[in-house]
Amino acid sequence: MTAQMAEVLVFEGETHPMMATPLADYFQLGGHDPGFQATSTALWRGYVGRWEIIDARLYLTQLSGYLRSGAEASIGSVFPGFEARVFAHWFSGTIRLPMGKLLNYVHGGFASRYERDLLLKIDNGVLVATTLRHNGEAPKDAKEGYTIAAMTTLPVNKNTGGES
Amino acid sequence: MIWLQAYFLVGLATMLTVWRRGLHPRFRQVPLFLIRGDIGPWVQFRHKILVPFLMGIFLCVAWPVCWAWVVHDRWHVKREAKRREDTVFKILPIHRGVGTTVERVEARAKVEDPLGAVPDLPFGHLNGAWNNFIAQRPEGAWLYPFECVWVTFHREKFHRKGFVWCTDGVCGPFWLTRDLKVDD
Repeated sequence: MTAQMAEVLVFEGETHPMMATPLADYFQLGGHDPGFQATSTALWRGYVGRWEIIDARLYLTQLSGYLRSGAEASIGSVFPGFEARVFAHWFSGTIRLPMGKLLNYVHGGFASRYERDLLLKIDNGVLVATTLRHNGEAPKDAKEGYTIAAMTTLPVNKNTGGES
Repeated sequence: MIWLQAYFLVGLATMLTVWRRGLHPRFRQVPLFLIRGDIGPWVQFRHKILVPFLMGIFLCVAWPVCWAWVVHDRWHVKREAKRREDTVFKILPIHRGVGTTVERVEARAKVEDPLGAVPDLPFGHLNGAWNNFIAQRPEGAWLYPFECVWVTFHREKFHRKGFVWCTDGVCGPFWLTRDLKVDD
């Protein structure tokens, strides 16, 4: 078990690590999954998505990673014809944005706890509520921000488009 | 006195049963270090003589506990197998809404976005999944919406919504439009 790399969310002009994977929900509902390649034990899903809340709507604005074919992944790999952004209308649930210092490190999934959590409730891709949850106060020397203690890098079969 | 003798006789029979074939598959495995044989004399004595001797005494004296444990264990395995079967996701008639048609569903399934980041198709980016579901229509099946709370084998709850093809009241292929974990 290894703590997983977070997705990225831009909310109210600030960039946050995001403890949710709306693309996994998309695949679960039958959306096209091009087949991502895990690049490390901290990224079993094989991609990192950059998301943005624009006018209270959740959009996917960037996607990085590798496909099993070896090609570099982009938004177009999953949503052909929508390279700029994709409205995540399929997603309903709560997005957790950890804030402050580390309270309790857990080397698995998104299980580590931080001083505060900003919870964004999303319904069919639309932001309907935000809540700030206080989890406690960390020691002064605690680490600030989302961290992963260790990971193992996996060999990646990169397709360089014919270059040697 | 005859009862006491009978009691120990059953205990002896239990012990012999265990000795011959084991009461439970998990005890039939021989530890690897015994197979390899690269162990000291004390460990050999402990595993080959002392433990079997003490187990034999225990079985002769407390054999009802042993049989109660075996019965309970087998009952528990059966119950868990049944629970695993019961918790497989299935759509029951009570989960179904009113019958509908593909045209009616598609007319209400348009997704709009002011930034144009979604295709102008029923169910937006999930249009492909919807089309796959339509293609799975069994002969003579009717389309129904459904909604339910599904409790998994691990007792997690999911709020599930979607559409299902039903033939003569029996639900067949389904498609999820929502699969949301519910916190207690």
